Amino acid sequence: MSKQRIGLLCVVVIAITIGTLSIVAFSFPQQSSGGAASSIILAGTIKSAAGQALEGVVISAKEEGKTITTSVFTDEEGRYYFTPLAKGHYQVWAQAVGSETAHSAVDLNKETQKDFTLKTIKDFTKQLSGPEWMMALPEDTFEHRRMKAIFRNNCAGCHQPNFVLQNRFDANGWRNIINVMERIGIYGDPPRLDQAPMPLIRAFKEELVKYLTEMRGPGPSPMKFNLLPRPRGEAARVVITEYDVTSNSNPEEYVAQNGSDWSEGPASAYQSRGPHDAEVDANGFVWIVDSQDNPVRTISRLDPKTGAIKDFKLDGRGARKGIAMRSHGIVIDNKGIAWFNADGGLGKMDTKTEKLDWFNPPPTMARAGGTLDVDAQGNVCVSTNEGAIRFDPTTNKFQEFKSVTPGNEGRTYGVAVDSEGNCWWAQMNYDIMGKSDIKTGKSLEVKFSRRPGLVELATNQDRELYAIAHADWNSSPVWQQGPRRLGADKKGQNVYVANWWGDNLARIDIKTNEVKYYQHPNTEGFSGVYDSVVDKNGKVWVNLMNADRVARFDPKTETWTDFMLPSLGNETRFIAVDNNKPTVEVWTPYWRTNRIARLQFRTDEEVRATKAKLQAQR
Amino acid sequence: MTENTHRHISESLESYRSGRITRRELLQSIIGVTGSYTTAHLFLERTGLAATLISTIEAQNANVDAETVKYPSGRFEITAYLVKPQGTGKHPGVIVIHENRGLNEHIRDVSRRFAAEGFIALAPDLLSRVGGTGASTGRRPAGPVDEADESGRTAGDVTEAIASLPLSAVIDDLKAGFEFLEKNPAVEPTRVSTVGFCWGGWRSFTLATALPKLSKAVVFYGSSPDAGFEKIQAPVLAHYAEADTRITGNALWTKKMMDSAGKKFQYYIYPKTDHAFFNDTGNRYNSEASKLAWQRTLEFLKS
Repeated sequence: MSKQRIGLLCVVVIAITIGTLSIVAFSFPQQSSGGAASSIILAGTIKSAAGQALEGVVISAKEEGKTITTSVFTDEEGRYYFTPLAKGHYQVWAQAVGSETAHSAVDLNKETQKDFTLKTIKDFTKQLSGPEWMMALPEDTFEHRRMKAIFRNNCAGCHQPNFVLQNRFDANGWRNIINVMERIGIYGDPPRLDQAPMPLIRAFKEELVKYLTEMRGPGPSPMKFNLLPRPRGEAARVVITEYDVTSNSNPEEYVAQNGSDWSEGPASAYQSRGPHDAEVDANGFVWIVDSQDNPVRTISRLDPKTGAIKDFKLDGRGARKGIAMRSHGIVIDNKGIAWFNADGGLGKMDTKTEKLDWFNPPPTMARAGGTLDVDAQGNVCVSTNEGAIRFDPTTNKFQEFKSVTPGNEGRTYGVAVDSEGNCWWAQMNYDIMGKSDIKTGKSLEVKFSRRPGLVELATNQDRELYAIAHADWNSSPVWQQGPRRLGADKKGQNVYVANWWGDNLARIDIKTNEVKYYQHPNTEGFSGVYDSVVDKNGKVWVNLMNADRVARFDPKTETWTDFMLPSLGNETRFIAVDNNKPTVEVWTPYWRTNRIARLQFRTDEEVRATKAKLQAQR
Repeated sequence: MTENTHRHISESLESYRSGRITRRELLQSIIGVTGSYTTAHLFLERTGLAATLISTIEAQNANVDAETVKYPSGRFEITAYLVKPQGTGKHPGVIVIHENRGLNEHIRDVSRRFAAEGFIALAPDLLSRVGGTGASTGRRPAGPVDEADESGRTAGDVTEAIASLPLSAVIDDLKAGFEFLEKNPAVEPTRVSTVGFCWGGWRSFTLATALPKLSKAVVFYGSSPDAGFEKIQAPVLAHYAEADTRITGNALWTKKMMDSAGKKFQYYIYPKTDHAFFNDTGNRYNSEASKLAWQRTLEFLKS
């Protein structure tokens, strides 16, 4: 697909979506702080240095000393309208790739208008998103196509591709980087005891060194940058609120370089990461689980009105005493119970009473892994190394389901419970979906086909290698689909699987087990289809980890709509929907930069109402 | 250890002593009450039952002589399990290098099997520098996930202790073991080889880069060294498990390195097997693959 066509497709998709949204009920997104009397609308215009109105520029506002950032985008006339903000002193900044970040201090007690002029800059590489880097990797020769695919499937799964490609090194520099990468754990943790390197990374090391030195070495590079179109239409009407989460090692600290200023490039995750999954309860509180060892929190609660974080700890057992039990995934059932994994067991938090509990699977079963879902009766499905376990909260008993094809340890990842109560789990390195048949108690499996169009990028020598070095964590043959996480339509008969390397959503019909693949439109960009969730309207939401975007897939029209996040290098690994709100809201934690974002969607009418309020305000 | 557990183990040991149950059944019984494979092995090491009761009975059954020996390695003293064929004559030697679980009944059993095949086998406890596999740590057991009896190392302790060993120290202790075996008048000094499993497989291969006198090296599902292939004199044989991607996936790279250095390297990948498939006391044991790997190992070492 040509670069021009991608741009066109995005525009078409957004235009289609605008039409469908006119039926959505009017519900003005509530602002994060302050009541109507003490809040005010900030608006303005963004222009280029040549005086041209700029559409789709992101404007962010953060009150001094606070932890909440609100962002909106300019419309086709270059105008932006915040929803009401609490009066106070704010830092406001405007960003577009290719322009210098424009900053301004705004006193909302006095000003309600702030215009910006953006100056273009020559070197905008630090600002680029993962897909913009991937699209710039040339595909003119077989070798370039092959090496791009090898880079894509081995170097852009533990972190976003822009984190890698923002750097330039000579051959020795790249080799030193890969020497570390071939052994380091997926969280950047120390190598395995046996020091065994990732086979594919080791095998391709010298070719990758040569390739990366050609693309991002000291000499001239064949990379040519084509920027993704800026948001417009519906995608430019979204209001995004980002909350800074306190550090898990020191609840007084927040991350300094957090991606909010793109000119700094994607940040290091060192000592900053943590919030992996998060769910919203019926009272609007957000429950966050933290995947990093720490002394403070197993689970924490965010109050979106104030940004306050409250930590809760389940103390580790035995040698882990003093360390908080480590969690990763969370789900909230319809009684308001939050279930999460914790040190191989199942954690339980009553979101109303804040009572914590912990259940240990029997020693004959595999330990609880990192992802969970729940059925309408409250039965919890949890991934394990060997498949899944199901917990019945009325009897406190576990039931085990083992994968038909036994997997390597730890490679079973996402789970979802379908509308019939069957648990599905993803065997990412085998391109297999496991399924527990609740009626018979047996395990089944559904196999995915290879991603088309990529098999021919493997040489005979590559094939010989792939025959014995199968996919591992974030390292795979070029044709791998990589089912990572999934969501089920609780009212329908489909499960939607986010295929990481496949760059698609696989829809599985739970009655027939038939699979249909829906490719994300930006096939060159490797946007990173990571997790999916189905909202109350049957729409499928996906976090695009590599793109710093969220996408909505409409199964009826089979179209995708992308929504850009206001920060860069967030490394989102989960997506949640808040179905309690009249208009669905979407949440996605920023694992890399210790933040969490909420997306609220404004209709045209709602923006017009804001404009009318603005007139009245003035 | 509860009274019930104690009674259960005592009864199982009595059944084993009187020949009513086999070694494998005894192990399964102890695994059943101690909660895990590793804890059961650690119990047998710490109590000395592996080195005394089981060793005596199994050595008799296999017509071999087994004893615990100590040899010097610099300022350290290394404890090892030495097993010899009965009778006189010269025999090839083999150093059996344990997994990351330390010296245990599985490695002792493999050593006895080598002796029954005419080798003098030495299985060093490479944790000797830090007190030995069965040493008491004086720490409380880790809890239900990682349980041990009151005073012994837990599985986590053993892994931690092994992780703390510098590679150079392990190689020194293996070289010292080689010298110890080489000087044994019953050993053919030009025919001393190594066989290593998992963590020990990597050490077996690495020793070949550091010890030109080594006759042959066998690797069971272990990593390859990063460098030093040009220094290897011993032919190397490797057995890999199909599902053990991280280890097995590096076989082609290793072959390429050995070929480039002009060294002999033969590897086999066993279908439908996982890491540790040769360990008949673990849950990944694959009988068919183990028999074939054993036969290939013997042919290689005897050739």
